[in-house]
Amino acid sequence: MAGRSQLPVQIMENQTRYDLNAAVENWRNELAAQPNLASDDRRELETHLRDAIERRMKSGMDAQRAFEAAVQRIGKSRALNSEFKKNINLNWKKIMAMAGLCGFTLFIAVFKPGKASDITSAQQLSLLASTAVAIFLSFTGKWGGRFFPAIIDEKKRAAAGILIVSLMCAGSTALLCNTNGLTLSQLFVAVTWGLNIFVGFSAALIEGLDRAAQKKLEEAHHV
Amino acid sequence: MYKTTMLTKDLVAASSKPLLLSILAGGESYGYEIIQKVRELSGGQIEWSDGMLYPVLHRLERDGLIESEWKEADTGRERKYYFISSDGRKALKTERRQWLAVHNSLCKLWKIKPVTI
Repeated sequence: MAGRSQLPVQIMENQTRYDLNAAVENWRNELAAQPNLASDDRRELETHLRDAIERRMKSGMDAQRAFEAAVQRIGKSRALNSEFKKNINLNWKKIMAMAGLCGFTLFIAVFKPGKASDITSAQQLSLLASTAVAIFLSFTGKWGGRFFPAIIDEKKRAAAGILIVSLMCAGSTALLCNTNGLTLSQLFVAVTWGLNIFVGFSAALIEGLDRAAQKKLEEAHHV
Repeated sequence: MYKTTMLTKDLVAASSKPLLLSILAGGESYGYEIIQKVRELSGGQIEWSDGMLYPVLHRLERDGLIESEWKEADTGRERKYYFISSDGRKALKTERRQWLAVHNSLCKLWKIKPVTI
């Protein structure tokens, strides 16, 4: 798509047929990078866009202008995304999950219930630190996106996310297999660190990959 | 939520539910057709912005007032059709009573003939 926009103007003018399908496909890819739109939502919006283009072309508009007017009318992908967000409330879920995890860790660290009573003050600090790291990690996706590769294809992006998360799973399992000599509270601290970093990093990873793809597509669109 | 030429944003948002339920009570429809219909009915005074309709439809569906199904249209293109549920018909009756109550109060104040509920 970037290649097409770099064509010399003369060639563009000689191009008699506007590639409507490619334009719709670009638009669809841009939607795919928006985290709040499910594939069913996108499919529905695309049928809408095609209806709108068809109607304009029937009343005599050329393909390019019909496409541009229809896109203008339906709203930019970002605006659509924020409208759909009102339904999904993705951030709310993320915050709840993080709060649950951190709340549990803090509860154990502060009240030391049952067998956790032998938690030392150093271990308490360690638990607090792991909570802080998890919260910090979960927010790094916002700016970390710029360092992530932009994987435009949604399925490939999901596959990359799952691959990295599985590797982390395998890594933490390997670490936890070496816990024979640990006391219960030591084990708890180790598991909490593993879990908090895992959750924080996963949240950052998924958001970062989405943002990287979104940015790339927006740049390509505005060339 | 919507772009309008005549109606205020709040009024358009509030009226989207009874309008959608009433349109679907008259038969199944899909997003593009619904927007055309609303524009036609209001003589262009209610202009729903295309992409904003779907979140409202999805909300009504989540509340069980409407249902949806992908179906192939005559043109061969698949479209997501919405139709009203029995809960939706009940909700429409309530909406109807409430809107007519507002309408009739205003009619009396403006000395216009009210309609029977």
